[in-house]
Amino acid sequence: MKTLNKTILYGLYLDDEILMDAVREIREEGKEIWDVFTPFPVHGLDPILGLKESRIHIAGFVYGMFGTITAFGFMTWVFTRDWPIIFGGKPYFSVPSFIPITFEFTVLMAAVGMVITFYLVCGLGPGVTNPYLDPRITDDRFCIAFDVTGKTKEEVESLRGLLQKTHADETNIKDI
Amino acid sequence: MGAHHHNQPIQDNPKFVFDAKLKLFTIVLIVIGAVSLGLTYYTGSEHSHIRFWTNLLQNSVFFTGIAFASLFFIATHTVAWGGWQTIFKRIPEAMMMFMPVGIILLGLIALAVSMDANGTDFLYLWSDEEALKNDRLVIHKSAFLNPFNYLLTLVVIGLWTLFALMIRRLSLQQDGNRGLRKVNYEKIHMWSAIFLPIAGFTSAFAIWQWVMSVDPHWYSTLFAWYATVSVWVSAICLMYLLIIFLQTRGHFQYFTKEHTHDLGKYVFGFSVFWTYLWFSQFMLIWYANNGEETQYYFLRFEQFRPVFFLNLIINFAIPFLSLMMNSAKRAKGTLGFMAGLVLLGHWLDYYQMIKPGVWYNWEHAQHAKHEHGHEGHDGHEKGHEGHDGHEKGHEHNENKEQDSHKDHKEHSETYRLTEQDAKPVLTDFQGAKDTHGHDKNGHTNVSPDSAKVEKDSLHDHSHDSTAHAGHDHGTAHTDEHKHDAHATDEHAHDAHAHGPSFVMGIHFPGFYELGTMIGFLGLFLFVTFSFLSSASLMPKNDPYVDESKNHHVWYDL
Repeated sequence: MKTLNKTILYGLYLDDEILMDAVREIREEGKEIWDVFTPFPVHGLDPILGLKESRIHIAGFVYGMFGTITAFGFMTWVFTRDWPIIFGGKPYFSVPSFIPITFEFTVLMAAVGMVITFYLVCGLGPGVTNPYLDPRITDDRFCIAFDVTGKTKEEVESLRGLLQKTHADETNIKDI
Repeated sequence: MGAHHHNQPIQDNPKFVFDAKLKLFTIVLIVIGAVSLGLTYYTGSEHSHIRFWTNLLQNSVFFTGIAFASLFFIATHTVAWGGWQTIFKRIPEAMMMFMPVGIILLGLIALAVSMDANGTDFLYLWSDEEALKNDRLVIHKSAFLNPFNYLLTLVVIGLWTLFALMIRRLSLQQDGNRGLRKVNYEKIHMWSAIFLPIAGFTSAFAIWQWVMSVDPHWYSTLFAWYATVSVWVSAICLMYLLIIFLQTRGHFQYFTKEHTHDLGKYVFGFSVFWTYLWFSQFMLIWYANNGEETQYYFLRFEQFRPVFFLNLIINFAIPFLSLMMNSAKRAKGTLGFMAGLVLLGHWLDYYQMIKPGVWYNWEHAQHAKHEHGHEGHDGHEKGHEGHDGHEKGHEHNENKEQDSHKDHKEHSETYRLTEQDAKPVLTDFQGAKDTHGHDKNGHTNVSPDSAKVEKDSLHDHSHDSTAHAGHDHGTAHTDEHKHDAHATDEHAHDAHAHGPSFVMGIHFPGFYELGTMIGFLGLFLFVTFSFLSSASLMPKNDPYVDESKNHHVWYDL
């Protein structure tokens, strides 16, 4: 298993609403959160954490345009230059008949391109394993984690107190 | 949750008052519409009657359709246990109450059609006695397209109205009695679930009768979905415009950017879906190139090109490009503008569904009158089936000849006959392009199909037997009817010169059309505001109202 060589202090919360309030409160205190783990996507968490909007849709648009131009250009070239054939008595360059394939290829390129980009950016791929803090955060627990590597005992205890104050169900320290 | 994060408490006024000023405004709109509609009828122009009936039909169907889509909106969201729409659900609940007015409006048209009022023969060819005698496609479809079934569409709106009344009553009952909040919600849920399949089938039936039967020679299995999605988008646009309007008067203060975003997704998504259906219908017809189907688009493309493309630009290109970005769907100004534009666009969509078909019926009847005025009934028939001189010669012969063996032919060859009938329709338009080409054919009596064989090669295998049968008749009797062919050919030039001419109010909406639309919009708003004012805008005891009030509000953007 991959290791990060970090010491993590984390608190587990029972509900996404409690988690949201906790994140808000902790950030108001000015403490830096290392990461938050939830068993399902929680709407509105990103702005509270101060995360910037993902740029993957821009990538998706570029891939989509690539698909559109490739498909339309390729069909145009094939049916007007390379191998002109009359289908159903239509002209060589007949736009309506190109549209379904153009559309499909646009969607395919955008979708596959975004998935690959996402995997590359996140460092995911076959054979990759990630250290986990607690198996329950993929089930029914919501987790706020602090990076406490090299921090003093007082600092750790003050963070632990913050977690408990914001209604964490339990707090733990783990080296990962 | 999240509402407690707002700094100030929200001041929301749930009581809408339909005040005198607003009432006057809607009444002024109605008057504008009534005057426009009245003037259309009395312009004295030769197409004033069809212009009047098409305007009345288009607006009646469009606004009744919006009322239907509003009920559909309530039903789908309730069945899906949707909660986000609850704070503004009183708007569709008021909009759907236009349906009784729709019964009156379409009832008027049904009455006019069954009484054979001036011009309705061109509105619905299937109500034309001459067509019923001679036009084989109309005869073939008359089992479905007839005044009785048309009247049945009024029963259909009546059925929808019953569901609307039921759902509205159950919803309003909750306001005064918190004990009913679960019980009535479940009842609304049940009635919605019953309504949805009924709505699916009956809306298709109604739209076939009202709109598609304007082109009785045409076939499209996709049309009902396409037309229904059109009113669905319109209903959502109108809902949003009403919300913006009511927000300026202090209502719907709980309506947030998240609600805006969701309605924006609807406008964007269903505009794309509408385009998908439009294109699916278009491409298959364009590719297959069957005369009876292609005729529909050929007419629109050749004679109604501005409307044809404007329809696609307003309803697809503009909303697709401008609402693609997240921020555009969340911005009141952008979405409000797009909602107005798309609403107008789908009104135009119904315009181009109805006008060209009626224009076609009228135009052909006029040609027939010119050419065969002395022949009476026969002339009429030919007008509908295509008015090439040589075609008529054949048809004439056939009609006389077929009488003897009509009985056994009619049933066994229905489909062949329909396809054969459709061919002259296309020939006619091709004829419009080169008016001189077929004079020769007419005189020398070459097969009428020969000129278009290349274009229509797909048909040939299925046509051979009937087509040849037709030719044989033609050749056998050429001499008898030669003068007939001559006579029509002389008029053919007049007839074709008529085709591409531009008529305001037919080929493009004129002031009377816009005035009529404004009037119907005023009527629609009058009804909607009346019903909005009779109940609280906030369904406070709906089980989902809190969810809707705090819809996704985790943070302030």
